Parts: sequence; C-alpha cells; structure tokens
Amino acid sequence: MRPAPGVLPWNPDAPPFDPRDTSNRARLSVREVAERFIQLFYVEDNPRDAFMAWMHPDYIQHNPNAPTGRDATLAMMENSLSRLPDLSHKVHRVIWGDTDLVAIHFHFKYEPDTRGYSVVDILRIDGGFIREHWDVIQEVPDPATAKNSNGMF
Amino acid sequence: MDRSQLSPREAADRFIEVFYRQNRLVDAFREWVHPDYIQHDPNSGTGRDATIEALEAHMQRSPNMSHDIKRVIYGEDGTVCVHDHFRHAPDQRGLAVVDLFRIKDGYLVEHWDIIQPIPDPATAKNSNGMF
Repeated sequence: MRPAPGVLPWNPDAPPFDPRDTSNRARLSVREVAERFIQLFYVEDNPRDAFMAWMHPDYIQHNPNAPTGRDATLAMMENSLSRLPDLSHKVHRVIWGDTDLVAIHFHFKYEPDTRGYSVVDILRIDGGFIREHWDVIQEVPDPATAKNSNGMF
Repeated sequence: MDRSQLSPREAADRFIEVFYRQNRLVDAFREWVHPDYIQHDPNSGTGRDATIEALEAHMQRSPNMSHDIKRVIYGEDGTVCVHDHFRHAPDQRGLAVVDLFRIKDGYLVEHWDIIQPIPDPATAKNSNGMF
C-alpha cells in the first residue's frame, strides 16, 4: 500500500507496505508502525484491524473516558462505531518524533454534518507495538465566535 | 546571534525554557515568535502582537500559573509538540494541553493547541491519569 497523494504525511519514498502485515513487527521502526496504524485506524476507520494488529494487549490508556488495555478500549470503540457508522478521522499533521513518540493531529466527527473535535493522539511505540496512549480533545467552536479566521487545523 | 543558524529543536528549546519553565510568556513571545505568527487557537487573535496582549491579561489574572511539561516531541520537519499540565493556580486540577508549533528560520511561525479540563479522578475510567 502507498499513501494517497495529499492524504497523509507518510514518507512517499518508503517501500509499499501491507498495513495488516505484522510478521516483522520487531524490525519495524517507530514511524513504520505508526504509518500502519494510521492507515487502519484513521484512514480506514477500522479500529478492530488497527488494534488487533498494532496495540499491545496491555497498552496503557491515559484517556480518562476509556478503560485501559486493548480489548476493553476496542469494545468501547466498536460500540461507538455500531451506533455512529459515519464517524470519521481526518488526519491534518503527524509529528514524527526522533524517539519512541508520534503525535497525530486530526479532526474527529461522530457525524458528518457536525463541527466535531480537534484531537491530538500521542502514541508510544516499542518493539513493534503501541504501548501507551495519551490524548487531548477539544470541541471545534462556531467559527462566528472565533477570534481568528485560521481554523483549528 | 544569527537565529537562522539555530535548528528547529534549538529554537524550540529556548522558547520552552522561557515560556513554560520560567513562565515569562511575553518575553518568550517577543524573543521567539514571528510577527506574522499564524494562530489557530480560536480564543486568541492571530499574529504575535495580538497574542502578546492576550498573554499580558492572562499573566495578570493568573500570577501563580504553572506549566508542567510532561513530554516534548521534536518532529523531523520543524514541527514540535509540547504536552503539558497547565494550572491557573496551584490548588486546581488544571488542564491537559498540547501545543504544536511550526518553526522556521529560528522563529515560531504557526501554532495549534488542544485544551481539555482534567476530570475528577473519581470519575475516570482508568487510574493512569491524563499524563
């Protein structure tokens, strides 16, 4: 798989990859793991494949509204997806860190015609797995009330 | 000093020291933020000087504010992510904040942020905390 032009800030020179192929996970770089997870989770809106492939079963969850661990969080997300099948994540930028951290800034919407939320997810990646997750979430305000016209993204 | 010789990381570290660690918000802006800075925080005007006005009012209202930096991610393309615990006053639970900066030629030229109040730990679904 290759990133669609303009969709993701992936490295366009990287060799194509199958985002579900975990066979060499220990040899993947932090960035390569993140690219695979981003494709499945944010682009395809497929939390099951994203989580089963790349989340460590014991990953540490810092979102206070989600339980810790892979299976508990996945169950919550699949429940959301069954009620809100049109929810969407639009990735605007990725901070590819020089250590074990990656930050993803995206626009999350439960339903297409809503203003939605500005979100940053921070992932810690080690040994081919996402081991820890933090996020910060803020509602996108009515543009008429904003003090600048630049938007939140 | 020729600021354009600084790497994005070096410029970010200097800004972080003055703004987050010394809580000298206006000094940090005068030194490191470009006059035409693009502001994406919907509660601030765009440009350096409009933001400085807001910061001056903010410092007067909250003289005991604090920023506790939890992690910094230095991106390979000159973007930097700062994840911090902000408090207006010491006895508050405060806010979880992510600031993203784009740095060019030794200046912070663009800024996005996301801010979320920290909930009562008794209501959280896990015991890991937000940081």
